[in-house]
Amino acid sequence: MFNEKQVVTSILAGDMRAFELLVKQYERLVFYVVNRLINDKEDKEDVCQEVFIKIHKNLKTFQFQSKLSTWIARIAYLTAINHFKKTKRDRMDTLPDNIEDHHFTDDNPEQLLTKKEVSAYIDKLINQLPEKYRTVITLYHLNEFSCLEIEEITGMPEGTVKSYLFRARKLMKEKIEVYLKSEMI
Amino acid sequence: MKKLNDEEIQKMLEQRLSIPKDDLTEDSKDNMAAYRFLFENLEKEPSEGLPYDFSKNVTRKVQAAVIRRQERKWSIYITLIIIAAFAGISGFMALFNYKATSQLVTVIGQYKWVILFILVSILVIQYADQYLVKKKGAV
Repeated sequence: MFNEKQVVTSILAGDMRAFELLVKQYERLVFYVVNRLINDKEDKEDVCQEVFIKIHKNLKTFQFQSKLSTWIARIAYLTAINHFKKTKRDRMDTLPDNIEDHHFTDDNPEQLLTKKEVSAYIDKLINQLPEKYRTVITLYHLNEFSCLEIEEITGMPEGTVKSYLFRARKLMKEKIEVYLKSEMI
Repeated sequence: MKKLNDEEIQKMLEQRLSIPKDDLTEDSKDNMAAYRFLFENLEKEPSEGLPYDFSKNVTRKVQAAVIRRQERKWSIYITLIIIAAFAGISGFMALFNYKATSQLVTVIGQYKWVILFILVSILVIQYADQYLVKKKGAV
């Protein structure tokens, strides 16, 4: 079993095998966060590496006041968001942060045939959401953090997290509803 | 028949609660099915991921950075030790042979720019070497 206190102590004592263990334990968590904010495949890996280098450098400041996973997710979120903002300037498809003005692309869900295609379609819908909504959806559903933990990770108030979750899900539900209705016919 | 709004349905699914289908209105049933489908898909892991040797690569990079940091620290310590030793020897010599010491100080004063140039060159070469190694490691 992964004992975070023991692993952290070993890493601080210079044990690189313990660090590798920590990377193995949290690489999926970091990837999920980074994956939603960054589109380029190579950039994703680079940012994940940067996250773990930062983790190693700053591990001595971790005081066990929160869960290690929350602390790591915060570093991943901040690193990914910095990278996202840096590359955002060069992107043409930047979306407004205000979801009320948000419209998905004109893909017609009625044309989707298999469940696999629907999963890919939902993935596409998530990627079209503003970055804060994407992050909240991922942290909650994929990383299974609570709203309070998401507040700790992103710095958004818990109420905002809940509201983003609700609105993003409602928006996506309205899109896939069309597919589900056509499937039932 | 119960009609549930979006908020109630989302809350129920978050808490993994269920309600008999027959107790819901047709509209709520459709809504519930759509949300359930969405929740299931949101929990699905992405098809792509990091390469299998990712942890090894990161560990190697971090280890290289640690070694570089240690080397830098040691080069600073060694420089300080050399300066301190030189100052100590000069002080010690001044106690026994003032003339020789003053001659040494005069020579140092005469060639101070050459000595400074040599010291700065050594430091620049060291930093450039570390920078190049770091750059090579990043490729």
